[in-house]
Amino acid sequence: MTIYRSEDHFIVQAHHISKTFPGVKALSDVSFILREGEIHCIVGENGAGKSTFIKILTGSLRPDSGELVIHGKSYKSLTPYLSQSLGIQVIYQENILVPQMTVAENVFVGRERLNHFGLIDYKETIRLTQTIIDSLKINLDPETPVEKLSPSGQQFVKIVKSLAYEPRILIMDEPTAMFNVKDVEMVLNLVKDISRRGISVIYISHRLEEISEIADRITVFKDGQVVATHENPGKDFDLSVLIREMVGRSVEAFYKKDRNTIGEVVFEVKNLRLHHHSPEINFTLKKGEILGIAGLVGSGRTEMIRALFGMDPKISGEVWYRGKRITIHSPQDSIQAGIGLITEDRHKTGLALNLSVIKNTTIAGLDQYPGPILNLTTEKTDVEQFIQELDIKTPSPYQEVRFLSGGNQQKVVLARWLFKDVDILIFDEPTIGIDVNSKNEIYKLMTELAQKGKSIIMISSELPELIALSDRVIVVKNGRIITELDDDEITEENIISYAFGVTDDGQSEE
Amino acid sequence: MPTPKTESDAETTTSPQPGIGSKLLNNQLTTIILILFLMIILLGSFTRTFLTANNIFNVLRAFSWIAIASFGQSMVIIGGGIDLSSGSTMAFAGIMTAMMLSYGLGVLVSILIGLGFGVFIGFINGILVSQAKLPPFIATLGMLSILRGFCYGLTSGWPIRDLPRGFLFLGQTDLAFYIWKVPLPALIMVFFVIISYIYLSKTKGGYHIYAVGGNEYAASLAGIDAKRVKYVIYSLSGLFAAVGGILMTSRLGVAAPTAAQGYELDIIAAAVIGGISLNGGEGNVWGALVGAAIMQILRNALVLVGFPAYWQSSAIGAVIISAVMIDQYRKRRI
Amino acid sequence: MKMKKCVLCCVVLVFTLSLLFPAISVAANKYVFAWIPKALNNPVFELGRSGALQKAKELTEQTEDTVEVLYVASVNSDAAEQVRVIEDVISKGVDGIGVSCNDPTALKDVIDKAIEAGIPVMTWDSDSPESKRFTYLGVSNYEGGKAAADLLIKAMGTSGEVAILTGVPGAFNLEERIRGFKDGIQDYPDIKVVTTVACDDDINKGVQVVEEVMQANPDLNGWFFVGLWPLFAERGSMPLWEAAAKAGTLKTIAFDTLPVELELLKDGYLSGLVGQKYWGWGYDTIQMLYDYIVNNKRYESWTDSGMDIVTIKNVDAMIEAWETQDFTKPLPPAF
Repeated sequence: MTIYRSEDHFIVQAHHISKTFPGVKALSDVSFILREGEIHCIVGENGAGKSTFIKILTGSLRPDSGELVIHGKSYKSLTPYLSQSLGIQVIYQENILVPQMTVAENVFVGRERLNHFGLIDYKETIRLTQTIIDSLKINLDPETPVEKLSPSGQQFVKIVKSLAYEPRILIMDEPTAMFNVKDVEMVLNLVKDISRRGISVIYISHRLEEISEIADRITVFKDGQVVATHENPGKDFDLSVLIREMVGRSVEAFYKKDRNTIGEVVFEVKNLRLHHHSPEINFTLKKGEILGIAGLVGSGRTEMIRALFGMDPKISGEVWYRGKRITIHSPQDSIQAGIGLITEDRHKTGLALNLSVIKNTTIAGLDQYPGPILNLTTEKTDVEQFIQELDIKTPSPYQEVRFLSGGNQQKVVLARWLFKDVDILIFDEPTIGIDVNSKNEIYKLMTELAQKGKSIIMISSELPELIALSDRVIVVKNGRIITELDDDEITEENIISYAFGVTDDGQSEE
Repeated sequence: MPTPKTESDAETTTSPQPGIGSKLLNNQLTTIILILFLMIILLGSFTRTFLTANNIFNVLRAFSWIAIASFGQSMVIIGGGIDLSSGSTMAFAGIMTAMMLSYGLGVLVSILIGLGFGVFIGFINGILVSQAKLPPFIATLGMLSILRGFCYGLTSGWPIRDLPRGFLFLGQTDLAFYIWKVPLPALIMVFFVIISYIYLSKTKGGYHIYAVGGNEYAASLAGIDAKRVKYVIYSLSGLFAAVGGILMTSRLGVAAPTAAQGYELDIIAAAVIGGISLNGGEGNVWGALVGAAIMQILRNALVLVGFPAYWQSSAIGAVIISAVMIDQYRKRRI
Repeated sequence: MKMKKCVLCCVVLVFTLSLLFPAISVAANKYVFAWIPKALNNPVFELGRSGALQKAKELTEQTEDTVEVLYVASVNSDAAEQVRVIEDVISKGVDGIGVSCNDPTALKDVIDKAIEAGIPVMTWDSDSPESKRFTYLGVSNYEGGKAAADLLIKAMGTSGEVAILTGVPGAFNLEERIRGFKDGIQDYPDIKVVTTVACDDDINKGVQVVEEVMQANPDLNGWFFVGLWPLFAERGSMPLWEAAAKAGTLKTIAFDTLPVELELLKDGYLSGLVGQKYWGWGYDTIQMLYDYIVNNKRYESWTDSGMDIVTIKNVDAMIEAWETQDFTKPLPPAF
């Protein structure tokens, strides 16, 4: 056994870590050093080995070989308990909060503060929570039930909760994924603040801009190996370098769409009203067009689409499709009319995770097979064609979709609507949680669909993709369409200024 | 219909479609089939009576009605629900059929009325779950109790006996097959497992059940009418339980208000042992068949080897837990 | 104290009557007795009920009093439900209660409460010995088991292999019968109990386990069915058991004397039956309640209700009693 000298600045040292799963080498010979008080960003595509590495640090996986040196002591592997007692805390992407409990209760769940009688000391719990909240300079009421908070608010609760453990090492897995633009800045400042307190932060994100903004060092993972670790003293690291290293080839930072011919208006929403007092919504969609919908989280974009698709009731409004008025009371009606929705949350609302790729693909379009009994061979052949066409990476069409990566899962949802052969596709955050390479594939597919004459509505919080893909962008604020941007008007500055309400030309409808 | 799937001209390689044989041997079923065989081998070598044709058919007949009810139950569980009323439905359908027979109605008409009540009960369960939005556990627990009350009330507690020969034929006939005499209920069970399998795995309706059980919200966004799926699965569960109940009545020649009390737990256990996840969206009826077989063979074995009656329920509980645990362990290893 | 009770009793009575039948004259007394079985789901209680109604009719006809029977119970055998039922009849204000207890201890308090409310209580079929009930009309299950053993020995001889079928393991009355049976055969070392099986009071499971035991023990000489469960099933349901019984190599003794069993006995499948006097549960209970209240008759703590022993010799008399629903005539001797 090697004895390492306790080095003050090296709080975590991972040496030659390898981990193999049946059929996959998840990590091979990974070495990684975390310095005290630094923000160390990890980037890489989904499946590059980031999560496996984090799981080894948190003790939920045992490495096959290699060693970990934490606070100068050497370990072959950790357990979740040991990892926590070494001061390692993780803020996961998934929801780990109990919705019915208050913020303070959530922060101390499992480590409840007790009074002399062995009962829960609620006052103390609230006081301690408030202290942490104050130190972060955020606005959060410890006594609010978590389910009443916005997604961003809940994200903050997770951060507060992890800080309550007084960690030495904080691992953040895509912390900004759920935040809107305004709050992202807040989170980033918060991360910087945390690191200034001497807590080392491992920060995982797909948003490269924010990484270059906050990282002290950046490590790039690819195919289970560390490609490089960069210093980032000037907070201005060249993103194209990172992208090149991640994907293994040089790509342009953002996708460039080929122009395509846009046809006549096929779809028109007139005087759509969600509530009695909400403004009327009017917009059109043309054949072969990609219509972007921009707006902050909470601006009413998603609500608009939900009502349009028939998931939520609406007060009034007409929907015209190819010159005919159609009535939509339920998702079935929409689908019947030829509209498909690709939701933001693939796991909750998109896929049946424990069903196969085949079943998830054909589920909406089974009607096109004649007869009561399905010909499973035909079905499989059809699905295989989509697998090939969309380049869905799956060992077999029978694979349960929960084993696929996010990008491939998204392609399965897309395959479903292509199989159903709908003419209008609504994408709500099409690339959320998807790695760079898959994103580009999704963009390419969307462009191709438009070229084939499909019409696409795309809601997105990622301005670059909105700008790159959209033929037209409408900006939504407070449930109202603030403006419509064409061609050259579609710029980051324009969208942001409208979305934040800096510019308001008073023209609420087209 | 123009489908946008002609972009790549490359031919997809068609690998052979897995047939029933390989389906039987795929992941989920393998373990429990092994457990079943292990039990059979052990019993065959430790008792001289287990592997006699007589006993085998006896066992087959005895679990046929539980198995048939558990196919319906499987559909409900795969669709993300549970049907606790299946035992009561068995008894109720048996009693309704027997009452119709005792009023002098024809055998076929009486059976159809009994089956009709099964479907009706299931349909009510479906309404309670999908329209009234009751948790399936509560809705069907209530139904369990209501039906049992009907059973006692309609019969004043007395079993209905002296049913016509033409009806007893269903449960008591053995059909000659080479040298064996196979009980008719066992053949009916085989018939039901095959149509249930085809329905679940090869029809649109079956796909919709898996989709609703796998993710109800996602299914409804894919245009599936989740409410309708629920009506269908609960009605089918009611129908299948009625089939089981009527077969049992016909076999015993008596419709007792106390019949099939607690069978819902055996029926659910059969499905769960068979790898049908209580979370929904997973498993198939072959598993339920094997699960029901394991349960009945176990009961049979305990009597044959003279296991003390007082300890039997513990032994059965232990086997249920271990069978599911072995299956879980296998799943985790993958 | 007694005065107080009587006064209270009268007040309750008058109150009840005035509520129920405001027009009735006070001269002829009207008595309402609650007759509470363990559950509504057991058919033998129906028989007891018709006994109770019969006695009420007789008393109404033969005396100047009017006697009515209130037949109430929970659907299933459930002690807690039964407590609730008794509380209901206490607040309703009956004149006497006869109850078959689901659980001796669980029922104690509510029985005492009724006594305190001035309502005399007796138990039948199943007792609550710790309570203040004035008597228990019942059979000793232990003695019943012994009688069954005697019947089996007379039919089968003093040697052979015997199996026992019980309902729910642990049910007190069934366990007592088994204990009596085992004591009854213990003087005969050549009689061996090869197995005891349970059927959870379920006809289907009863049929199944009997056949399985026949499968495992083809040379079985005797069966003791502690209840009649599998016998409810139609002939042809237990081919192995039926064949052995018909061949005469297997003798079966069963508890209870229901018509279905009598037929089987007559046809030679069964060798003997031991039955409680279900009809008497109602018939005698109402008489005793009436005598206790009206005639001030007092009873021992245990009143033997007697047992019916049925063999081929007296089966016809029993069948006749069932057909005429007249169980008042004593049964001819079994041997």
